[in-house]
Amino acid sequence: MIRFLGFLVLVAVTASAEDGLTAYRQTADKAAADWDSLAKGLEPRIARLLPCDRNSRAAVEEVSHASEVRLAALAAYLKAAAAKAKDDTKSAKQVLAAQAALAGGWNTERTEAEQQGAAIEAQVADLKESMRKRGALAGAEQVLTELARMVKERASKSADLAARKDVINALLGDLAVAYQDRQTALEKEAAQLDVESARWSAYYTARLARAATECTIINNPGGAAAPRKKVP
Amino acid sequence: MRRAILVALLAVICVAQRARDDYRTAYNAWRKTDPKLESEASAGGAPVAQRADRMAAEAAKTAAARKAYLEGTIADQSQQIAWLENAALSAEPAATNTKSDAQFIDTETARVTRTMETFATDPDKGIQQLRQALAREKEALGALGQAVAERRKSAESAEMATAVIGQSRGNALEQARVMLGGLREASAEAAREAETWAEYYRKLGEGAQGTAAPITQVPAGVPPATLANPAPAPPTVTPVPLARYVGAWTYPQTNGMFHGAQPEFIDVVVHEESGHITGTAFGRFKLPAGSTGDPVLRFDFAGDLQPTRNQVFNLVTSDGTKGTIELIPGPAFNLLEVNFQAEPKPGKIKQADVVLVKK
Repeated sequence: MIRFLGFLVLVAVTASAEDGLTAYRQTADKAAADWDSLAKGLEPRIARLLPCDRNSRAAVEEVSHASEVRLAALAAYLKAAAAKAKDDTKSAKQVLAAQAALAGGWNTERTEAEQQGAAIEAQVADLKESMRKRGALAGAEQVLTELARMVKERASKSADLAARKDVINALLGDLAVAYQDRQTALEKEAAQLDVESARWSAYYTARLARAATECTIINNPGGAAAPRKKVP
Repeated sequence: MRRAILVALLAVICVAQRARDDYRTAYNAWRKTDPKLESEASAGGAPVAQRADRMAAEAAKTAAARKAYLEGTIADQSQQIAWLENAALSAEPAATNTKSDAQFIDTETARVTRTMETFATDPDKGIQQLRQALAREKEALGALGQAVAERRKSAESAEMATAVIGQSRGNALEQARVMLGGLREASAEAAREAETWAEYYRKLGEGAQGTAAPITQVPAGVPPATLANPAPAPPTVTPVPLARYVGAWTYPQTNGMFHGAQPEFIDVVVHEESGHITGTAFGRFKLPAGSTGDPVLRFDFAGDLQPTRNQVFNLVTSDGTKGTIELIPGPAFNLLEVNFQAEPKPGKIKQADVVLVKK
């Protein structure tokens, strides 16, 4: 019962975390697509506007805002993904430990079967001795010999499975390491996104500053007498 | 929540270990019960058959403990497999892909650079201000490009790890399924071993009956076998060991066998002293719908053991009704068929035939 409940908890946590991630993923993808569309259309859109047209500045601000939204959505996804990756790593390590115990059981199985086989061989020898006086024990002796064969086969099969122990332990070890690597990469990606977000903010500030400069030099009497063509 | 997972998985390991310990304890108890049975089997007679019966009971206990251990381990291994099956990861979202960002940065950098070059030699003050603004924008794009490139490396690492997880998970799953197959096979084999041990002790008991008849001549110099059982079984007139009759017996909660009235429960206790049997029975039966009869049956019985397999004794119910009870050793050491018959009385159970298991 304890095992069953534990398993349910594990599955429930995994399932709910996965559901949450799906929502974050969809939001992040939509916000990224929205920004991409606006960013690609920005220059063609403002090329037809005068530098001091308020729509020109508004268009840049709209793309800047879309950028902030998509970066925030991506940050939320990465934060959730990193948290789930951390849980996955813990679970993988626990599964590795549990499997190591289970796989190790085959070594014990083999040893015990060999010991039991030796004990049965001794029984067979004793029974054969008794058969010399009481032939009616022959039927029992045949069955005991069959049991010796069965236990020997059990030892052999256990040895085969025990030999797989290292393989499965290594695979689960690789799995745990890969989960750890993924967790580290996602945590690093989330941290780098913070830096990148600041850079995007700086870029859009510079872009808006350029738009303001374009407007200023148009209106500046010290500049060209006639309205200039907008800088591409 | 995380602690709950940890505790649950540790519990898996602890429970599995405890079940193995139970099995090992049962096995050791079986082996220590009568280690000289085979070497003293040539003595023959009811005592040897009785000792074989006792060993059969211990073997059955060991088999039950092994079954519990293997079933628990199968459950644990199945859980491992279920986790691996559910551990598949979804692909990273498109939003983590930096391709669009890089393209945007390249395009904008090229555009800004082109514009700066166009006005490179223009002495106009306003144009110079614009060039400075463009230079700051280009600088911001450069810094942004570096940040995006750094994040791309981490995103690629995450994707690579996800790919390794997929592959390792698949391979581990394959191995875990082999382990599970091995456990299931071991469980089936354990059941066959249990049946074979029961057959062995039955044949040993049968072989011990009757007059000794050697199958070979004992070579000169070989010492005769001697009975040295530290706890010899008490002699009995019955052809099967007393343990087949004596003890506490009950009707199983599931898959019970009966003929006549269907019991809800029955408990029978049988005592023996110097070949004399005393016993009590208490039970409750299911009555047909609408019946107003008494579903409860309670009686005492007593009598001397006879040199027959089936033992019949007189009984008296709690309301004074007389009858007989027949105790019939079942096909396994722990089964006893009880056939009860009483004088007919209105509203009272008068006949029942049930198979009980030893408590």
